Amino acid sequence: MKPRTAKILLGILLVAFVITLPRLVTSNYWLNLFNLAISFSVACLGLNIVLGYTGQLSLAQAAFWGVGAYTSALVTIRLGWPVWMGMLAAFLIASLFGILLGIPTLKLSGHYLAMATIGFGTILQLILINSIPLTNGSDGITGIPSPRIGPLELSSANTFFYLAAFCLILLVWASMRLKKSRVGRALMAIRENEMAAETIGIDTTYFKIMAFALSAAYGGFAGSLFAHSGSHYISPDTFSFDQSVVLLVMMVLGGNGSAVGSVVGATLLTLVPEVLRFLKDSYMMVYAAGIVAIMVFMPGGIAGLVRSFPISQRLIAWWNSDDALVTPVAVPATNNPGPKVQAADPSCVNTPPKQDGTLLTVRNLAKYFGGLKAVDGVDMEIRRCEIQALIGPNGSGKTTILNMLSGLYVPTSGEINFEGTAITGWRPHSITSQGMARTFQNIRLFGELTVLDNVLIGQHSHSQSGLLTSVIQPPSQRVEEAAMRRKALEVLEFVGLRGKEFAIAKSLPYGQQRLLELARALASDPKLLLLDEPAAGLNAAETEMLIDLLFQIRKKGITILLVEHDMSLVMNVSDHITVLNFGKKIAEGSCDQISCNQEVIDAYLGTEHGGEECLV
Amino acid sequence: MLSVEGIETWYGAIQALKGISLDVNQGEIVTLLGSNGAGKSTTLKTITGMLKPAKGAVKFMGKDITRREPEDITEMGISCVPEGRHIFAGLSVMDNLMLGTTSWKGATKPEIKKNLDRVFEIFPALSEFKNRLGWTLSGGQQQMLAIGRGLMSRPKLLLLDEPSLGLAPVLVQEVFKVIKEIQEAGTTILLVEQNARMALLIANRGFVLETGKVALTDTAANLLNNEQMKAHYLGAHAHVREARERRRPEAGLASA
Repeated sequence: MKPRTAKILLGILLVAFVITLPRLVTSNYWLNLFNLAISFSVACLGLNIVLGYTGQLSLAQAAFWGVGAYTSALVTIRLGWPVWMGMLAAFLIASLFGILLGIPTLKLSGHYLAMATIGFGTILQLILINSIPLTNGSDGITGIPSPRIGPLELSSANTFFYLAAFCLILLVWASMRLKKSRVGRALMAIRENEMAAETIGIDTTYFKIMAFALSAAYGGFAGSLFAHSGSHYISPDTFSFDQSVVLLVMMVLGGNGSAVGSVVGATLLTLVPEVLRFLKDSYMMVYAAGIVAIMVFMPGGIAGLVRSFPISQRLIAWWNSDDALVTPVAVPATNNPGPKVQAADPSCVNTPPKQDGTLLTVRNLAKYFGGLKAVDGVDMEIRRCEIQALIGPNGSGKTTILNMLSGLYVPTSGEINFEGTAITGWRPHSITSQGMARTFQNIRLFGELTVLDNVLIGQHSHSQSGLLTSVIQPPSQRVEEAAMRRKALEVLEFVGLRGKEFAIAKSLPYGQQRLLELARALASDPKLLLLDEPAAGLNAAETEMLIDLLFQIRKKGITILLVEHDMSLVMNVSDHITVLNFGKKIAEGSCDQISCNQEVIDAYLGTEHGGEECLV
Repeated sequence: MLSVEGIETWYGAIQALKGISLDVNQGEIVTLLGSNGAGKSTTLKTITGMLKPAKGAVKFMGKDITRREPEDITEMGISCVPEGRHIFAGLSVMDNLMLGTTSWKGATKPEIKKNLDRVFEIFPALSEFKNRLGWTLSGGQQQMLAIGRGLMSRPKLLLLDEPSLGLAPVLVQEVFKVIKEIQEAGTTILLVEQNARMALLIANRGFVLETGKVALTDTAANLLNNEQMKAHYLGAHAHVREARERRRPEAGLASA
């Protein structure tokens, strides 16, 4: 059987299951529980986007659930809008509140973020309680209408179940598609390493707010499903901090980052307490003990457990085997909107490079940390197509300069000019889209993602798919995705990592992790590549390979600025060397000039690498 | 002093060490060389008790320490300076050093003071910076601090994992000089290094690991002259003059 057939078959089975379930389970009590479970599932799907995909802990999900429920109830009762418009309004208004939460929390992470979201949720609940003219306060709102399809009113639990199940399937499908798209990868990159995500060209501010908005929108929609079913009654005490915690437990239990897991977790935790009721007084205790046990023995949640079986890994591989990577979607030869593959600067493909013009100019650059002058008035020029090395003792300001060039630090003073554009003080992702990419001294990969995903994220800055196209996947998106994958494979081939596409980045040996970081930077089609100690931790043979690779990169027309301590590498590849000491430039010139400079020998090289042959 | 007998260590389903045996005698510097993933750091972690071997034994001063806990092993006189320094970034240099004495049970204040002075004698820069926070130090200073902290427990055996990583050439020479001094002052050293040539210049003996096994072992002097070693591990670190020969336009073009 082909995966495609299996997917269709699974779809049919799912529809059949949804149709037959209300016929098998006729009890209204249980059907209402199912509807509640679906509402929780949708809220958990939202939480999964903000926490599971993006790694931002939010404890305000129940508040968004409440905003959605109230929005939907009020517009249908007070304004007399049809229920489907109420649901849409719930989705939109909640997402606005999500943006409202997202903006002030951008500077926060970890427990500070969690605390801010608790505060936000509590404020929303208090507003619901105290805006009595609008919300009826603690009395709540009764008589919320049921949705209608034409003349048919979905007032009974079983008819509503069809609608809710349909929405749930749609939203799970959207979540899963999102995860495998450009936007989803950007969100996961933020989760894995926010600094690396920003420097590879992802506008982390924008995507974090998007994650909060999307998560709140799911929460709002879930609230609307809740308001129009069951008792048709809502009151503020349902949408408490406690409920946010319950939603969090459901999501984490199902499996952080898994959309299907969220649904399983939410369903289990809604239904299991009912099953356990026969235990009478002790049922909540058994239930809680069960949750603790699951979290202790399955830290990856239910989805994590299922994925860890070898058979499910084979199944997942088979399931994915018909996607665009193996059978690329046909790409028209002309008018290809995908990323460019040709050399960044064709004028310098021939070695030795023609020295034609300056790519980057740095004037009087300085960075002070309090009283410490890390970089103190440095002038530098990087010529096109050259490999330029920046060397100097530890603490002389080399990495600080790289951080200013790539936008991680804002210079205290001075200017940086890249291809005629003043980029001083720009944010890292904007600098990356201008054509500058970097690697880090301590490797910063997206560790839990695959090698292929890492390189695909590298292409973020010159691909376009937004949120909607990522979910709907029109032909233009598929063409772009296929082109990105082809390019990713080319880059992996180039650095010698082809065949490792589906390995998890952090499982690679150290040397290959360095290569992968290089591949990720190359995937952004840089004109200038900043390398921070690429040979650190490599042995002699691996360093030799790196040297060859650097020459090949230059051949592609990419200029390189290299910070490195391994003199066998620096003296081998550099066209030009700049030497720093105590934040100031003390020398620059060719390899021969540098290795004969007494000041450089004293401050940096020592007798090992300089000196003796300069007497001639 | 230390003898490692056929240890096999696994990471989950992956076997990192496939029966490694080595020995370190009192007063020696022994160096452990090999590619990334050959098992050097895993060997150190197995010795210090961070990882437990599936098979084999580790003996220190005649006692079996194979499955002992890391803190017990440190207390017995083995101190490890991990790869990547791992200093306590939020604590001062002084606090970092004092934490090094944790495993030195029953130390009196004057004894600690004396040892501290000795560390400051080896690393004068540390006494200058003693009130600065760890993260404000440069990479070289952090490495000095990590080694200094390792010496604070007065170890009989010091394990060093890539002490030259990320250091300027002058500092690399400095670090190797210090390692030699530490040995001459009576501490035995097991040194893991990528910079094979520098390591062999100060070591008495060397072990070369390949894919979890000992591929070669000899005195340092013999290893320096071994053809196999020259080809695989001493290559790029050969003298700059050779390197520059290859860089000349004609040669450079051919290799590029």
